[in-house]
Amino acid sequence: MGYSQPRRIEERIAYEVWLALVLLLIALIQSALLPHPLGLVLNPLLVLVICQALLASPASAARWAFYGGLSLDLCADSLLGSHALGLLAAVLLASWTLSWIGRGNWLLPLAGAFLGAIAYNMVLALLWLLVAPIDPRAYIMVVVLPSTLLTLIPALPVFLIMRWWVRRRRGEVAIDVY
Amino acid sequence: MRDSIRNRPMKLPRPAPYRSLLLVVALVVLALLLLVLDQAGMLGSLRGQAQSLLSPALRGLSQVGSGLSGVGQGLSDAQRLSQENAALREENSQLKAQIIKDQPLEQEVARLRQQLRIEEDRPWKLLGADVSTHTPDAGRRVLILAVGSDQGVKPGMAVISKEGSGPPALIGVVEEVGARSASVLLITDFSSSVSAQVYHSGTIADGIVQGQWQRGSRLLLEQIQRAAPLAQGDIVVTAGLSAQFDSDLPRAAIPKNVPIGTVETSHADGYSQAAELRPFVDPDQVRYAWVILSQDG
Repeated sequence: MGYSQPRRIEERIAYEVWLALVLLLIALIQSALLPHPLGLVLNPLLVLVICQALLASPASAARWAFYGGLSLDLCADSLLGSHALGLLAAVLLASWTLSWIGRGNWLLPLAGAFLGAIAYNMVLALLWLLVAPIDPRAYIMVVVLPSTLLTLIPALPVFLIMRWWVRRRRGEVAIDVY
Repeated sequence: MRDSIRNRPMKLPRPAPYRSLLLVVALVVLALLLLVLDQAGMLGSLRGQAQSLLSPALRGLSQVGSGLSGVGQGLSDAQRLSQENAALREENSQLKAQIIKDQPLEQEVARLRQQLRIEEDRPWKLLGADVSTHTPDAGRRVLILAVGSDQGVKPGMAVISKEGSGPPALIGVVEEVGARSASVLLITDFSSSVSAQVYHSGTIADGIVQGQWQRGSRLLLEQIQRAAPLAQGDIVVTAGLSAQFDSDLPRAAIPKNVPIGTVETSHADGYSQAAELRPFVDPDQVRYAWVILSQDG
């Protein structure tokens, strides 16, 4: 019988390729187009990956993190896998520590972005530590905290848009917890 | 749910309990593996090819960004003039459109003029390049230039830029080179250190300029003799020590007397002195830079 197994695999591969290309495009925009206020960098990939982790499954978000991280590594000429590790750490921390909070709760994206950004920046700091010694306190004050705050700003709107999109696809009715 | 043909319960796919965890762990392991392989230099050619493919896109996007800011500026100017006079506004908008149209050409001419002026003043052979991208996170201070080994760029070459009426000044050192792209470690990065000299009313003192961005500052001049006189505004330039030795070290291509910045404050640091520096050029704002290809012109 002509089961649809081969077609499903093809579809899955096509989906993964499209996903990787879209994330590559976002990484390109993040690297080349976005402004650098006070030397800090807006990180839409991090926000998207965290929101995906909160709305979908950790596995799905991990794939986003991997593709997006490798794209960032190629754009930034950093060691392949370094940004991917940072984003995967963000996914792990955000999804598994906040799994008890409902998706309707507006605090979820803020808490997720906070934890995810901390994990992302700390993993990158550990990797940079291999290059040169850093003062942990100064690094936290200068890099980690401002970057985390910058991640919090778009977290809620991006989360709401993605949640609306997910519900629209699933045909769910929005119920918010205030 | 039942299978209508065989009239038996149909199994719906259920996610395995540890499938998510396994995938995440697998991806983490894969990322670590890539990291180790890349650190060992085994992915260099693959990464170089991928970056060569991405380089035009990065450059294009970067130019789009510059163009958008130019259009924004032009529009705001036209709006201000429209309040004064409708005729002038029309004329102004036409002029602005012409300026925006000619902007890339004028910018190119201005950059070539600047390059010519620098090459007249200094014994350097320069290669101008657009900045494709800055590092996409705040942890490291790196930028990518849209030139590479095809244009003669090599690791260790000094990269300079110019800001306003200031002198052409060091912003970083080429760290890695692809065929059409080069990553530049900025002098403000904490892993950057460059041998330097301070000029203070006829006297010269040696030291090392250390990047400080991740430590909350920009540049720190360290290991200056305690007795050496230092004052605010003293000019700091590269010492070019490794270049004199003509060694194979990555920093061997930084020439002598490339301006870096000026002393802001100084303080005793054990048996030596240290000074906070203000760089002549803010590396984060650089859109165009020159690679010093050779020192003898």
